[in-house]
Amino acid sequence: MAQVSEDIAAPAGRAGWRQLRWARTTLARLGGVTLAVLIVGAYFSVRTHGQILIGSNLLGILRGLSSIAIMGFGLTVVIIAGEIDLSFAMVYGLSTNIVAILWVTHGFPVWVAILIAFGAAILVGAFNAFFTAVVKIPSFIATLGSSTLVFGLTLYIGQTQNISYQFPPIGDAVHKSDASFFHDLGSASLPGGFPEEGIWALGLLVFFSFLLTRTLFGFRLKAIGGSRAAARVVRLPVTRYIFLAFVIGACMACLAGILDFSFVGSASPDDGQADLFPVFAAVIIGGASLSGGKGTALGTVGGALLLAVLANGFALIAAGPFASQLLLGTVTVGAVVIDRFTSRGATA
Amino acid sequence: MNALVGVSIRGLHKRYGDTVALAGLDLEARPGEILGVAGPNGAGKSTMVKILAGEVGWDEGEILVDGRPWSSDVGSNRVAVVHQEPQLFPNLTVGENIVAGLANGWSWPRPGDEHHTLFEELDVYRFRQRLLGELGLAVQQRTEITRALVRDARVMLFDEPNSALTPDESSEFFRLARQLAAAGRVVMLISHRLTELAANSDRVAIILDGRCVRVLEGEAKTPESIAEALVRGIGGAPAGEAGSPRSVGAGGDTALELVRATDHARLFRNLDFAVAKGTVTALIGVEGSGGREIVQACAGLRRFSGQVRVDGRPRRQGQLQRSVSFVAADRAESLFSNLTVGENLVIRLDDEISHGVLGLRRRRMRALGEDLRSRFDVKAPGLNVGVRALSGGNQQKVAIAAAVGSKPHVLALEEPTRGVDISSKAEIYEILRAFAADGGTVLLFCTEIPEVYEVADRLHVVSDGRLSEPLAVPSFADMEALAKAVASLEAHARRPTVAA
Amino acid sequence: MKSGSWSGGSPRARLRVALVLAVLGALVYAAVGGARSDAGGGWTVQLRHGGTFTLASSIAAKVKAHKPINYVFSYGSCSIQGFSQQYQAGYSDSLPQANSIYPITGKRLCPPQTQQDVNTQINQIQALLNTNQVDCLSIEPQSSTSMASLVAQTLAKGIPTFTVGLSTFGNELTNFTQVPFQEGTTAANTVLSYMKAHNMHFTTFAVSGGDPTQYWAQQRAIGFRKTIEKAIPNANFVTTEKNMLNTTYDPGKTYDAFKAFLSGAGKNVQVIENVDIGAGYAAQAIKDAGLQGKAFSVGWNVIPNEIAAIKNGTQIALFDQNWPQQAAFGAIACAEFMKTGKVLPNTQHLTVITKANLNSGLAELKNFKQYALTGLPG
Repeated sequence: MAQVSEDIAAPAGRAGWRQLRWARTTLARLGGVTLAVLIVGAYFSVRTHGQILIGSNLLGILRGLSSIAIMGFGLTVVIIAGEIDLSFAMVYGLSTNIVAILWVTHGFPVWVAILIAFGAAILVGAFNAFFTAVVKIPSFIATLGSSTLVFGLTLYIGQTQNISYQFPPIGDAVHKSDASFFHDLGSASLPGGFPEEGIWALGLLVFFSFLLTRTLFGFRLKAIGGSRAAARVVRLPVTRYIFLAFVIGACMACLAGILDFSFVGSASPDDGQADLFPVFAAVIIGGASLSGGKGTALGTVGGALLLAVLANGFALIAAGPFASQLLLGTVTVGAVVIDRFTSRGATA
Repeated sequence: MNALVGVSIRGLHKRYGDTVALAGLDLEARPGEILGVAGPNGAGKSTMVKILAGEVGWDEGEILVDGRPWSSDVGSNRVAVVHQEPQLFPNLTVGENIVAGLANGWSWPRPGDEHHTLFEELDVYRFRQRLLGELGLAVQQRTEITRALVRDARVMLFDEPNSALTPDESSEFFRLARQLAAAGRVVMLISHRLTELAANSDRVAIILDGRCVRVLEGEAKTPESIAEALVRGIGGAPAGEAGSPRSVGAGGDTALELVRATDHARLFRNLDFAVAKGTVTALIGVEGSGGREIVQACAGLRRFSGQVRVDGRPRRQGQLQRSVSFVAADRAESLFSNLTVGENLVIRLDDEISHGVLGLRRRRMRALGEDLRSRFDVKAPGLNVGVRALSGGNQQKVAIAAAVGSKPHVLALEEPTRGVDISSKAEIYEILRAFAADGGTVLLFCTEIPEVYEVADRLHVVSDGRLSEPLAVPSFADMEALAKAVASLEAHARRPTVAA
Repeated sequence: MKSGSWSGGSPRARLRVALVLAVLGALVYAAVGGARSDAGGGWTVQLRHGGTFTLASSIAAKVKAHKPINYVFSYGSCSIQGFSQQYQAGYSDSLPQANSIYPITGKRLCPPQTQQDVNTQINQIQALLNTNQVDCLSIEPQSSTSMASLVAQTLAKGIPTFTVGLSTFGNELTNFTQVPFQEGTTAANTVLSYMKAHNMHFTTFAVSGGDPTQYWAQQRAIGFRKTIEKAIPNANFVTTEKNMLNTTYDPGKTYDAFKAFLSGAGKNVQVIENVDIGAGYAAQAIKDAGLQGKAFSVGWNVIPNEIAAIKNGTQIALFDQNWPQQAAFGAIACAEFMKTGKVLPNTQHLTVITKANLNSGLAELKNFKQYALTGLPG
C-alpha cells in the first residue's frame, strides 16, 4: 500500500496534528456514554426545574450508582476475559445473608462473619471458574446453574428471614461496637453528606483502572479475552486468569452486598436479584464487549452513572414505571449505538 | 476485444478513509478464458473481488457484466467467490453449507451428470453430514468450491482457492476451472503461486497499487516474468534470486529431539526426530500426514507420550514453552485482533515488560516494540494502531517478530508465509535465515515447495506420521528438482528411514 | 476501539486525572453547598416506640400560610399482580378526599421490578428528599427492617412519616396495617361462628400457605391456631405453623399439593386455613376428592375461585386485607395531621366475606370509600 509506506517514512514530527487527533479520539471514545449522560442530565434539569442538580441530590445519585458500579467492576473483569457471569447477583444475596445470620443471629464477631462471606464468594468464583475453564462448559450455562445453587444456599442459610442489625430479632443481641463498626463501613457520616459508598466506588475505580491498564495482569487479561487460541499459543496462563477473573467478580459482588447491608440496615432472601440487569447494562453501555478483550473501569462507571441519573430523574418527576422502563431501554440501546458509531471514526 | 460479453472494469476507484485501495483499475475478463490475477498484498485484488461480489461499494468507475451495468442483483446471483479463508457456516453440515441460500432445490449429481467426476474429485460427499466446523481447512475449502459450482454463476472468482489442496486435488481443480471457463463463464484466478498461475491461466493481470499495470500472455506469461513484474513495483529483489549466500547450517548439535514420541491422537507413533541446531528444518506433507502435528508437539502444544530433549537435556512437555516459540498458521491463533501492533509485539515478553504481575513498564514496552518493529521492518502507521489494520504480510511479520523477540532456542512455525505477498515473503525468509545464522533453530511445517526452497536447509517429507531422510535443500539446482524429489519420496513412503 | 494504554502517556493521563478531579470537586462543592438544616418549630407529638416528633419549621410555615404540602407515597413494586393495581387505585382515590381536608399534591413512587429492590425504593425516596420535595411521607416497606433507618432520618428532619402494609420496626407516626396475628384470630372466629350457625363440630384442622416462612404467614397461622385451641380444647392440628403445607403460588402446584394432602396426611381434616390466595384450590381439591360437606377451606384475598367456592359452600369465608385502604391512608393522615396535628391510629380490620354477605361485601370492597377510615372527624 503506497499510502501506508509514505506515512511511515514521515516521522511523527507534526505534534500539533497528533494532539488534535488524539483529542478527537478521546472524545469519540468517551462519546456514547458521556453524550448520553449529558443529554439525559440536560433533559431532566429542564423537566425538574434544576432540582436534579441540587447538591444533595447529586450525592444521592453517586450513592445510588455505587453498588452497581462496584459489582460492575467485577463483571467487567470477567467480560474482558471473554466470559460471562450470571451468578454475581446471587452472591450479593449470599453475602448479606451470611453476615446477617452469623453475626446478628449467632453472635459471631462481625469481622469474622465478613471474612466468611468473602470466603464463600471466593468459593463460588472458583466453582464458576472450574466449570468454565477446566470442565469447559460455556460460562453462561455454568453461572446460570451456579446462580440457582447460590440462591438456594442463601435461602437455606437465611431461612428466608429479613434480618436487621439495627433491630435484631428478639433474643439476639448485637454488640454496639460491632454494630457501629459495621455501620461505618458503608454509611459513615462524612462531611457535607458525602456518601461513604461513593468513596468506595471511586477508590475501586482508581484501583481497577490501574489494574486493567497498567499491570501485566490487565494486559494479559485483554489478550486472553481477545483470542483464547492465540493466548494458548503464546502460553498465557489462561486457566489461572479465568479463576482470578471469576473470583474477583464474586468478591466485588460480596463487597457490594456488605456495603449495601451496612447502609440499608437489613438483609433479605432475594437481595441482589434486581441488580442483575442494571449491572450488565452498566458494563455494556460502558463499552465492554461481550465477545471479550475490551472494557474499562471508567466506562463501567459511566454506564452506572447513566442508569442512576435516569432512575433519579424519573423519581423526581414521579413518572410511572411504563415511561421509565421505556426510556431506560431506549437510552441503553441508544448509548451503545452512539458508542459503536463514534468508535468507527476513531483511529485504532 | 468484445466489450459486450464478459466482465469489463473501467477506471475503478475505491478508498477506505485515507487509504486508497483502487486507483483507476482497468481490467477485462473474457468468457471462456481463465484470467490469472497476481499482485502483492494490499494491491487491491481482494477489494476488486469484494466489489464484484457486491460486498462493498465503489467510488468511481464503471463495471459491466455481459454488457449490462453491474448491480447488486448481478453481484449476488451471477458472481460467485471462493475465498482464501473459507467463509462458511461452521455450525451447519457440509451438505447444508452447499445449499444454504439457494433459491431452488439441489441434489448430489449422479454418475453421468455433468460435474459428477468433479464432485468425486472434490470428495466432499462423504462429509455431507459432518459439521463444517469440525473438519479441516482443506475440506472447508473444497466445500466452498463446491458451493460456487452449485450456484452455477456466470463469473467465478477464485481467491487463493487451492492453498490447502494436495497436488492431485490442485490439478483436478485447475481442470475443473478450465471446464468452467470452456462452458462460457468468466473465471478469475487470484493466486500467489506463480507457477500454477502461469500454467493454468490464459492471461495474467498484474495488479499493483490499485491499478492493473500489465497483462501477460503467450510467451511472456512465465512465472519468472510474473515475479519480476511484481517485485519491480516494490523495488525488492525478484524472488528466486539468492539474497545472501546461505550456508547449509552448522549442524552437529541437536537443538530439539523427540524420542519414541506417540501423538495422543496417534497421528505419529514411536517417532524419533532430531532438529539440528542452527538450521532451518522444514517438514512438508499434506493435511493429515502428521507434519503439522509434529511441529506442534515440538512446541509443546500437542500432547504426546515419549521423551523430548532440548539441547540434549530431557524436558517436561509443559516446560517446552520456555525454549520453543510457536507461530500458528491461522493468524487468529497468533495475533490478538483486539490489541495494537505494539502490544502484539511484546505480549510474550513477560519478564521484560513488567515488575511482577502489577507493575507494567509501559516505556519499556514501547521501546521493545519499536525495536522489534524496525528490526523486522513491519510497515505500520505506528505502534498504536490495531493490528487488524495491517496487511496480511505485515501481520505475519508481527507474529513472527513477537515470537523471535522472546529469544527462544527454537522457532517453530506453521506455514509461515501463507497468504503473504511476495515482498513480505522474501523479508520473512530473511528473518528466519538470520535467526538460524545467529545460532537459533527454525522448525517449519510447509505445504508449498517454493517456500521450502527459499528458506529451508533441510527438508523431511512427512507421510502417515513418518519422516523421510532429510534432503539438503540447497543442493537442488532448482525448484522443479526439489519438487520431483519430494513427490517421489511421498509416493514411495513406506518404511520410516529417519535419523538425526 | 482499541485500548489507550500504549503511547501518549502524559497528555492523556493528565486529562483523565483532571476530569476525575473536576468531577470530584464538583461533588464536594455540591455537598457543602446543598446541606439543609432544619430546626424544630412546628408542633410536637409522641412517637409509637417512645420519643417525640416535631414538625419541621419550613413545613409548619407552609401550613400556617395554608399553602399546599407535598405528599409522597412509596410502595414496594409497581408490578406485583393485583397488589400494585389496588395500591395505585387506593392512592389515586385518596387524593381528592385528602384535599377536602387540606390541600396536598401527591407523588407516587414505586420500583418497576417485581422482585424486592430495596435500594431502588430508597433511592427514589432520597431523590425527592434531597430536593426538598417531601413534606409528608407514606411508605410501604418491603420488609420489616428495610425502611427503619430511612424513617428515622425523615422523622429527625421533621417530616411526618407513616408506614402501611407490612408491619415495620421503624418509629413512624403510625403503622397502618393488618396485624397478622389478629387476622388469624378473626379467621378463627369466623370459623367458630360458622360452626355455631350450622351446628357443626370440627376437631381436625390444617394450615397451609404459598410462602410459609414469611412473618405474616406465620402469624396468621399462629393466631388461628391459638384461638381455635382456646375454644376447642381437643382440636387437632395436622399441620401447624411449624410444618405448614407449602403450596407455592403456582396454581398447578397449589392444586396438586392440596390433592395429595387430602388423600394422605390430611384425609380427616375438616377445616383448612390457607393463609393467602390458594384457598380456592383447596376447595376445588376438596370437591374433587368427594369431601364436599365434610371438609372446608378459609383463605385470603378476593380470588375468583374462592368466590366460586363460597357460593357452592365449600369455602367458609375469605378475608380481604383492604389494600386500597392501606394505600389511601397516607394522604388522608397527612392532610389530617397538617390541619389538626392529630395522628390517625391504625384502624385496619379484615373484611370478612361469607356466603351471607357475598354480594354486599364485594360491592363494599369495590368502593373502598364506603369503609371510611374510622377516627376521622367529620
